[in-house]
Amino acid sequence: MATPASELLMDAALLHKLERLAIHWQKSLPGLVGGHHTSRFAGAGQEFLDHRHFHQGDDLRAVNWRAYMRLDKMFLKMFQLEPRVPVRILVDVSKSMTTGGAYSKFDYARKLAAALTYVGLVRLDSLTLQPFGDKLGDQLKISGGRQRFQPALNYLSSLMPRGSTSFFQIARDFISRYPQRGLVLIISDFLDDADAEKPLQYISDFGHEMILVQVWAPEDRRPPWDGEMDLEDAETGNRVQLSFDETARANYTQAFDDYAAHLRNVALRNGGRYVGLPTDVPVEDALFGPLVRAGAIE
Amino acid sequence: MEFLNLSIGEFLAVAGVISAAVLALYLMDRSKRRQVVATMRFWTAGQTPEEMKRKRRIHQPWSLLLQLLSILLLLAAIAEPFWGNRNATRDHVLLLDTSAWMGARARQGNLLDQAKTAALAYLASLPASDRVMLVRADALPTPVTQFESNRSIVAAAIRQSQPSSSALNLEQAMEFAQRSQSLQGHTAGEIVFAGAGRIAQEDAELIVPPANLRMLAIPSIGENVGIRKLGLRRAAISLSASGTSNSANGAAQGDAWELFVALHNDGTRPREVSLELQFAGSAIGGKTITVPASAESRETFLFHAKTGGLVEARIRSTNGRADAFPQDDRASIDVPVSKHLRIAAYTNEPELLRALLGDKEHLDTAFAATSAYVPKPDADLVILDRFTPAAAPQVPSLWIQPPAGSPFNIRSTATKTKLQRWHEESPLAEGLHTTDLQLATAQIFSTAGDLQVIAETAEGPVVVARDAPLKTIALGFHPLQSAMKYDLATPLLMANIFRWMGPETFRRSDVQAGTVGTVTVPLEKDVKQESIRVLDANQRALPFTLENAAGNTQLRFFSGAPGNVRVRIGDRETVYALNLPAIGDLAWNPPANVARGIPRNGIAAASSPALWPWLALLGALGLLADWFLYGRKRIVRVNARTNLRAGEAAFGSKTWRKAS
Repeated sequence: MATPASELLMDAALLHKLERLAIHWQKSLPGLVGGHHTSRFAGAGQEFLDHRHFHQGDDLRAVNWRAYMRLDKMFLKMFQLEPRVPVRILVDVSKSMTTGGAYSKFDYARKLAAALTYVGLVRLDSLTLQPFGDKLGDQLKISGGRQRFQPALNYLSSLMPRGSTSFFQIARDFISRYPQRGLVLIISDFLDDADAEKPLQYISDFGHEMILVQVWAPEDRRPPWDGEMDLEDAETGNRVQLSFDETARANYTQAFDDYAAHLRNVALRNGGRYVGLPTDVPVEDALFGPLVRAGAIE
Repeated sequence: MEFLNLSIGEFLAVAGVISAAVLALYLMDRSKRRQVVATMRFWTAGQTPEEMKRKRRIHQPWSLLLQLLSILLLLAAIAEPFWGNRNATRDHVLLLDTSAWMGARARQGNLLDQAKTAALAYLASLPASDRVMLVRADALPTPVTQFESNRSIVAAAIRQSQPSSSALNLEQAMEFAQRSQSLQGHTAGEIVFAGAGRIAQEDAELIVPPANLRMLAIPSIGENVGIRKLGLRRAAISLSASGTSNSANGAAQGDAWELFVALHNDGTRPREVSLELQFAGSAIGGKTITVPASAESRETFLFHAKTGGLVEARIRSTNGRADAFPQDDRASIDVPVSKHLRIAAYTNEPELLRALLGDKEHLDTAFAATSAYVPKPDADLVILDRFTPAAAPQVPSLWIQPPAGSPFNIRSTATKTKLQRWHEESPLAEGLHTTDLQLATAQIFSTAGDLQVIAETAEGPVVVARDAPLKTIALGFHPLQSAMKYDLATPLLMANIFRWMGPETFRRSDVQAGTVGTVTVPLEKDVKQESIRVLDANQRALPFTLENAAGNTQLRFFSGAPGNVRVRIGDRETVYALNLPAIGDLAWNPPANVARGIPRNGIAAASSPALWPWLALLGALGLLADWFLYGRKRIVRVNARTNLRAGEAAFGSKTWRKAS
């Protein structure tokens, strides 16, 4: 189900508005110089951070010679580092993302990923677009400004939904593939039959900062159907026959909301953020609304 | 009951097909819905009742029954079922009050205009299949149309109706309407009366309203004073110098007239009116009269009139306000012209006849010598005194002792003979009983031919008469040269002769103005029925009845149109100038159970009320109930803002800020 790149294109007005935004992370993450967020790590920065005692092997250029003249002790000046933190955008391409009728979660997730990629490219972030299903797919690493947006758009357009979702496998692959800590922005419906809490906890435990963007179709949260239902799982093909009524609908919605609240707790507990987006909310509204309010971008 | 011209079997077959289609649609609608979902974890978490999980072919059977029943009801509604025969039509009789009172003033136009409007509104409210017969009701019910289903014809007849001059006879109108309905083969509809319903007081108790009567009452203003009667007769009293007097103090005069006026107040308060009388354009009297409420006032006036002319009575309200019905504020009658019998007397001894003919009230006699005889003089009667002309007269003639050569065959001449018998069956001998009267000389006539014997002696007839071709009388003796000269029988005989020759001259005339309708004339006791004649303005005989009530004989006749009616009883004639509008005494108040006005939703059709609106309503209510009970819950509207707010409400909307 390859989508032409033109369908993922955003108009110039939206792109212009997106240039005012920046992907935001809270943790002090290490990285090479050149980022736009300050870090608690000292390094080759411009802003003075602190003094410490000189140790052998330290760069003599950083010694505070004035203090040495007064105190006859060598202190080393430390500067605040603004590292270039890697931003990894994980896009769910499992078959569960294809449900939702008129409001396709798959297309919505790709549009959202494209918009966030543009935001990151404008701020000269190092971005990685990483599709995933039951395992991580081929990633696209891009950086270097907005002129690199078109390759990212082409890449997103070429993604196809396939397979099921296995967050355990994904967490394992992710930790092994990306040892450098960074910002992990996961765009998914998180509708894995297994529990996604532990895999997400593993990722967070390895020092990554997580932003969970849960995308759901309106019928995912509140199914509009009634009566006898013959349900088929989009990923596994399993079928269940049941009778659905108003009471069951209320129970279903409650269970969905409980699950979403659970995801949110996982994110917040690990210093991350959670944003829930129904697909009937336009991407532009989602960017400047819930995502900004949650602090994922600013 | 009919269903789209289908038999009951065909209708059930159609209903079965539709029901099967509904059932199939129901089963399709209630069949399992296959749906691909993102995950099963929440579906299994839905606490579905165990019994709902049980596989059932038909779910919500009450919904199915309700839908089937509603569909059947709607189908039946489309068929427009009804009870009875659709082709049943009803015949209504519309009685439109066209009595004289309907010409009374109303707020807009007159009362008849309002009655027409009500009648047209009733006509419009009738079902198209019903037939209507328009009857104009006044003194006589007059059908204007037959039972007509073409509304335009009836409406045109209603618009062309005009007030008549007669009073309303409501009882007769209702009886006519009932009879008309009973003679028709269709179902009798309503008898609708549109009008003021003003009737005579004595008729109010006689009216038995039919069960199907409907009243379209037109309220009227009852304040009215009008002339009910205007009578004129020769006065038996003399007049004062001024020409008018109410005092009876003298003998009869030929040119004195007695005028009788009756005024009636229809209102509830006494009213003062000014009565003015004119004769030939000149005022002859007047009086201010206070007429009590619902009562009649009568006045008598005397006046002198030598010639004919028009007597007019007119009333005016003293307060300047016109009453509701000005048509009865004026009445007029003609004073009859006095006539004279013109006589041409050819005699050589005029002085002898002058004692009989000269200076008499109704006689205009011209004496001439026998030599001046002309066969056709300007006279009503020729008297030939002992003279036989060469040419027979061409006008009625009286021959006195006709010589030989006259038209009468003289059988012999008797002397000193006595009158023995008068033939009183002839009007010429009326009142003559004189016998044993000795005649010095008398001619005895032969009675051959058509001669009637009036008087005779022992020798034969001495007075004979012929009625045709010209009235002719022959006296065999000279009344002034015989012994009869001093007898009362002579002037009586001559009076009979003159009355027989010119009855118009000696007829006593009275004139009365009255109202159109039934006229009652009181008669004297010994009046012979054969002497009564009732003639209309064209001298045609009108039917009349004689009633003997409480020893008093009354003559009744009916005239439905204004005009003069002459009642001749012997030599007496009364002219009834029926030109006053007849007005009832009171407005009839029907019993409370009589239907009134026009129903807001029109007159219902002949069959019972149509069932389809109720069936359609029940069907719609059934479908609405089905949707309310079963269908409404199946519609789940998902709103973007609702979702977003619901998500935020569930997960909180706290903005996560940078810790630093």
